[in-house]
Amino acid sequence: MVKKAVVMVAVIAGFVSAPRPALAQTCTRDLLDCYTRAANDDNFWYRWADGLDCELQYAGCVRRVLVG
Amino acid sequence: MRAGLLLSAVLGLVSCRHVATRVAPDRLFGPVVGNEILAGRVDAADDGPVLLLVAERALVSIDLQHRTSTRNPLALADASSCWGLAQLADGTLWTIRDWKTLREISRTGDTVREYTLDGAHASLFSAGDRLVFQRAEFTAPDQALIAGKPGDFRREAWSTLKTRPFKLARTSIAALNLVTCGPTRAEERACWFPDDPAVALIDPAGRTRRVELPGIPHVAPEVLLTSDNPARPVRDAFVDRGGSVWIISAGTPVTGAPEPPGGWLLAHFSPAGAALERYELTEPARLLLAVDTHHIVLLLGSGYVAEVRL
Repeated sequence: MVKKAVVMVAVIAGFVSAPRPALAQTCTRDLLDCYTRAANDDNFWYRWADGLDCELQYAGCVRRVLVG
Repeated sequence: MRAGLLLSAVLGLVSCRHVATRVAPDRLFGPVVGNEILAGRVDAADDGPVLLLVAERALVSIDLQHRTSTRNPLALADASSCWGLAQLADGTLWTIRDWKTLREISRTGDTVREYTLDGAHASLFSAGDRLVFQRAEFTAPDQALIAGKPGDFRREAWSTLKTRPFKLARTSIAALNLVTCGPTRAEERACWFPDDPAVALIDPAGRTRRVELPGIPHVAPEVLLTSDNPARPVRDAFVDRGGSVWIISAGTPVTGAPEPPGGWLLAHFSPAGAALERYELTEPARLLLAVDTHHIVLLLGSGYVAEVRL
């Protein structure tokens, strides 16, 4: 019982001390997800246009971090 | 002997100027904003209100004289947002909706008119009767800022500020080349890049000179692009009546303090870039709202308007 509680505390402490997710890293992850979705489009031109939209979304996300 | 004493006195004075003094801002009123994105600002004439575009969807007017603020939402569909705020010499107020539409808004946030832009635009400022744009470009080097009148597609280069190439992905290059411009009470205004401990001082005709800010650390692009709360070298820059530059920089947070957005260092530089004064703030500030000799009005990270008397 005590052992289980100690393990639980250690796990919680691990979560608390872990670095907080970086906002700009979230922007990068969202960009990669967006590129992946765009790449699945069969039509070349839609794929290209979707890729440009992904870049704008990323720029908007990073702009909030670096300027806002 | 006398020369030696004089030299040591001068050296002492110079070194003192580089040592930061700790100052505590006195809260005046607020909070006027929450922990929200500040997407644009306009500084009217001396006694006029400061206007902020907040959370990409609302206009906040801060009246420093009467110590009041008002907040008006912009008329926007759920998925829409605005970025940038600029006021022309005729008093009209402009923003960019959804990257590609230039919108004139009233002081109460109502839409007056809209123009479709020729492509995506990342930032908006003003110079006299012209709007100053930054296009959302992903290649560098290139002209950073262009100017033109609303509804007129003709654009010309404004300033000689150029975007900078990096050995990074296109998207990162665009992010690192985002330009911000601060308020001014003189001819020149300060504009800067997010990683650069320097400002470009640009006069209304676009003449540009680069001024390095000694003692303000450079932030590596990869650090800037991967940080939760990036240590921005320049968070805000205000050119005062005498042409000297006041900046808020990331500085060093007070140990154990909570982390509202903002910078902890207030620094003063001569028009040529010589370091004059440095102050460590006891709580972080986001914007310089007014600078009058040694009376500074700040927007704090907590959202309060506060003053510092130096």
